[in-house]
Amino acid sequence: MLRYYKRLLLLTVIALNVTFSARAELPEFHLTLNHNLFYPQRLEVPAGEKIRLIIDNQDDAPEEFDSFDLNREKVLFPGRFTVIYIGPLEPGVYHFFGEFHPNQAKGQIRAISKGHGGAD
Amino acid sequence: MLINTIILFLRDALPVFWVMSLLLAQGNSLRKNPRWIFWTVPFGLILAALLMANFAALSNSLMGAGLEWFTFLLHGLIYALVLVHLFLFRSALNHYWQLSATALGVLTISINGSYFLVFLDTYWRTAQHYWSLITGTILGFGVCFSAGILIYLLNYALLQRGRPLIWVLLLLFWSTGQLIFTFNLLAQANIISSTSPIWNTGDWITDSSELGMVLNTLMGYEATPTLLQIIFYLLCILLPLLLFSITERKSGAKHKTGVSE
Repeated sequence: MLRYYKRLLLLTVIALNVTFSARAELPEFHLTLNHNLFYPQRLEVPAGEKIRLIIDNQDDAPEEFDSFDLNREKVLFPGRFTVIYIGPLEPGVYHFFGEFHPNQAKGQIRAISKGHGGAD
Repeated sequence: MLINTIILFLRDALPVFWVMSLLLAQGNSLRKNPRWIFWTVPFGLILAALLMANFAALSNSLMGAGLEWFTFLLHGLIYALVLVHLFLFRSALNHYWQLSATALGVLTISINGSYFLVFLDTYWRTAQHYWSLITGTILGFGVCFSAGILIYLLNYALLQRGRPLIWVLLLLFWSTGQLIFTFNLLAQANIISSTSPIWNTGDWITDSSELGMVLNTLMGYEATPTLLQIIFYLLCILLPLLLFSITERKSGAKHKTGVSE
């Protein structure tokens, strides 16, 4: 039994080793929330790279950036910039929405691999 | 708006009802005075309101990662308190029960309540369809309250019969699930790296479905977990169980050989 726990601990150390992130300059992308709409509604980002997404909430009320595809959720406070790190992403389309106005505030991030025109 | 309000209840209020029901079931089975709940709920709500009022400042601190760090640390503390609570139960140190139940209840209400209040406040201020909001609030509260009663009755009956394993597992799964979920918050603040998921059960239960949300709330279900999440999940569940079984065996052996503690 203890042998299994030792293996589990070893796996944890390995996972932690690859998990704690190296801080480097990352490509930045911007989103704006205005009148409960995200601009742009379709954002193209490079696949296979971590990116820094900066969201400017220009509305008077908080909103929550939410994405089940990206496993991200963050409250966007009014009149403030919010930073969310995303990726590295596989090529594809990832949907996001504002939790308080899911029918209006929605958009997608398209991760595009180099040398390809668009994501599927 | 109706569905959104119910989802809000499932995500932020259900964990509170869940843990309070588990604590109430244990307290009543141990014949504890229920006065702890009269301290826990108001104190937890006051802390939640204070947190909510300072959410924006907290979010901006630590280079924009303040809220993520805070949520992670608070859920880590809740998990540690669950372990302490289980240890007290296991060791029959019942005179500390009120203290540990109150601490656990206050922290759970304050962190979940603060998120809940931010959303509820925004919903009510920006809502145009108040009827949907009122209906959603009543339905959401009803769902959480019903789930709380069911879990209370089940656990009270099992604890009365001297079968605490389900109660222990529910408490461990809940606190571990809440802690593991905060790993996503750490990844979005670039504190840990996002790694590729190990599997994807999204074809069976998606994270965005009602069932997915309930399972996420109650046991940390993720359709696409990372290796770190899986390992920590297993460690957080199995290590306490191993420790409990070892101490049980030792105390059993002492009793058999007549060694007094």
